[in-house]
Amino acid sequence: MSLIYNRKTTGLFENGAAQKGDNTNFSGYTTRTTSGDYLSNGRSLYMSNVNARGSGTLGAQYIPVDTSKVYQLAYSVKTITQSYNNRNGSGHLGYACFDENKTFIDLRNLKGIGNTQLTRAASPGDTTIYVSDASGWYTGTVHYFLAYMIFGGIYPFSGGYSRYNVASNGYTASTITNLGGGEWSIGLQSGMPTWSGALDSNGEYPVGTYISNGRAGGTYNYALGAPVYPQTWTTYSTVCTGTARSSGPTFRHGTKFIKFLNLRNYNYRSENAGDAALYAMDNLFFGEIPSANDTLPTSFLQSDRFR
Amino acid sequence: MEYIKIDGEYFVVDDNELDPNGDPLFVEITKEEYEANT
Repeated sequence: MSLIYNRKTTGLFENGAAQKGDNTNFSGYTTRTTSGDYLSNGRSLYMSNVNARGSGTLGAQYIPVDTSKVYQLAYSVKTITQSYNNRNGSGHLGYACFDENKTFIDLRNLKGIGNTQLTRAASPGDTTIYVSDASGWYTGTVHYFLAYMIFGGIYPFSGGYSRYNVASNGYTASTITNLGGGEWSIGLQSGMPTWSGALDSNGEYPVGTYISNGRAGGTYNYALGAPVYPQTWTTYSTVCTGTARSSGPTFRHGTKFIKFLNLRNYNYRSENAGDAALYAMDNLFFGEIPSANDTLPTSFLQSDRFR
Repeated sequence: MEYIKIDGEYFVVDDNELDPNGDPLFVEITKEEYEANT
């Protein structure tokens, strides 16, 4: 069986194997041409910043994604120089999700926690809302978790993604009250915003409007984990398909584009008495595959056949 | 750096690293790292 991987280059990353002879789309890196320190095309992307201790870097390229399809994500990495205290390179590997407007998708834009519905119509400016169940809502003090979102209009609950959200300090935990009879009240810290796309003809959020608790979590999709990179070429690979409230391989609800993501030397970010570790990345691959059983093997992912 | 525990998960929140929306970076960490820093 022959497989066609989307483009004349291997996979969907433009310059993921330094094919252009420079660091196009990967400005967080330089390039390296030392024999053995690249896999293909005579050079690799090189994390050569001795001060990179935990800083994130996103690729410049927005890669279109159809979340109903199956993709393989694979990065090959090799530590070149250990840190001052003999640490290898390390850090989270994955991607960031963006919607159709290329706006970043945060977990607080996604259903999945405290899903409920309005039991009474709400109006912009209301400081109390009534829902069928708030038992799953966060009741602590961290303002990033006191968030909420509503669904409606172009953001139906079925899609799982909404930009109608208050991302922090949206409600006061102590005001959550079980009124009995299948109704709870929630006190908002500010009046309900005006999200015109979700309002009905009466200018209200109608009974039955879906609402969810917004909770921050893993900012990006750390799909390949947070490994310590060996001093020999090592390939990390996973399969990405479908949508969820996810910081792992599964795409986030609403995803239309992704970008490359690496938190450089994150694992040893607090060790700053000398130079950080340096490492190379090459043959970055993201491409559609026929099924989860048809992943490209490491022998190819580490080969010189990337174009 | 702020260390947070919620629902059995542990996070470090880094105000010096912002996501594309301008919010602090959240990274899940191990229980051991959380306990070592709190």
